[in-house]
Amino acid sequence: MTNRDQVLEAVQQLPPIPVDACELVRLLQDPEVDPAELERAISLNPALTTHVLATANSAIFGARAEISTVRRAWLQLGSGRIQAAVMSAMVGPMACEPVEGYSLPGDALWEGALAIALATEELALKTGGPPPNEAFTAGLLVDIGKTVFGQVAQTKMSEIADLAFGGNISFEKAEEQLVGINHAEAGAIMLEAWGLPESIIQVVRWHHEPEMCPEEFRPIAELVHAAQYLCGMVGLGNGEDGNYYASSEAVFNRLGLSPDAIENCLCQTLSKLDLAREAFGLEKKS
Amino acid sequence: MSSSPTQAGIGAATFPPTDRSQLQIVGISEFKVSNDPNDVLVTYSLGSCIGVTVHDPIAGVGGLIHCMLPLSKGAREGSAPKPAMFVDTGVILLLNAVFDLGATRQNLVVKVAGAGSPMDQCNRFRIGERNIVILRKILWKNELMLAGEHTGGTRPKTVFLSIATGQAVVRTPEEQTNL
Repeated sequence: MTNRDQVLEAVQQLPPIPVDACELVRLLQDPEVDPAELERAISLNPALTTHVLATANSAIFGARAEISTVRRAWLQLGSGRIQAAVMSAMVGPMACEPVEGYSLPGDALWEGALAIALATEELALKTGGPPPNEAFTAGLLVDIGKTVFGQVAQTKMSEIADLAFGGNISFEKAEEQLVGINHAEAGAIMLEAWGLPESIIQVVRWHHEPEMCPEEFRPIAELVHAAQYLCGMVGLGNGEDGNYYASSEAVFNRLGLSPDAIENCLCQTLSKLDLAREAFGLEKKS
Repeated sequence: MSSSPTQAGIGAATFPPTDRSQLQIVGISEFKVSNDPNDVLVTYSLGSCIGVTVHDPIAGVGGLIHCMLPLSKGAREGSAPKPAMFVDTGVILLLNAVFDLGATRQNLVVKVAGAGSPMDQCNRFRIGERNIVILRKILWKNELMLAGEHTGGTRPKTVFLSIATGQAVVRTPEEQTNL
């Protein structure tokens, strides 16, 4: 019998992410961060330094000359991009594994995450909402909870799918009903255990129910919610759950996106996806 | 949802092949054509997107495209051109590519799957429906008819096309049917 406690236990057993990576994410969220401190913090972890520089030099950011120092990368790309690079180094290896339960082959979860991140950023640009870089980072981790939830609830997945599809219930609600927790909450608990900032944890926790998100983080939660809906609609990042998620009428009304804006958002997202894979994937970095 | 009632009967055990190495995967916003009878083209996870198969049984030529959006105008503004992303530009590319391999308009069998909707009732953007409208327009202009269709619904679809036989199969989590 799969239940909430088993999911929580599995989260607790995950290997911790490097303390210096968590510290870095916290530093990068500080708008008045001292560049020297940032450079020192990143250089403590040579693998992370390599990853950040490889990301900074990838084609998606169109650097005209090679970026060879962390300080230069930060100045050129900004905190949001560096934060995304650090997070991709932290969770990329886990997110590139096949996700049991959801029947996602290797790389599919990560590709979906990149698509959602890109779409979130596009929506931020189109709606004049939160800073696009921050929106990108939030989108990147949105489904990380599926890794643990899918593994623990593997034997329960067909029952969850039957309940969702048969009863026309949003997939995360079916997860809740049958396991006592959904992948969004599992993801938030993972990120909390890793010591990541509240702004990211809350967005991940409430991406399917953005109206429940604390007000200060809600604008990004709403963008992530809309971005995931759009990506799922065209089949990006779908697994066993098959984009069976409800969307918030209120969020779409508030964002006021025209059909043209939506199609342009999807077009931009897909056009940048290959470059984003190269920038935030791991295959070309080792 | 409209679909062929025919279940994938004779040959269903071997088509689509279970060996993934025999499959030529067509990604989202991509197309492939072939005249190699060993090839099986496949595209996965069609949501509101459409997968269009074309096959000429006389020339032994076929192709498959996975289009995401109906019209290139406007949507592609500010982005790198990827013409197979759109029904209006992509289907023309697909047709020209199979004609280049020797297919003829008279013998071409065209089928489509996809154009699904999200689970909620609002379906506010109707991208799937619009993809089909534009496809019909393009085919009509090119004097082609749809010979098979499996569209609508809320579940993702996978489409296979055998270059050897022209058999096109659509698979959803619940069923597998000939197109």
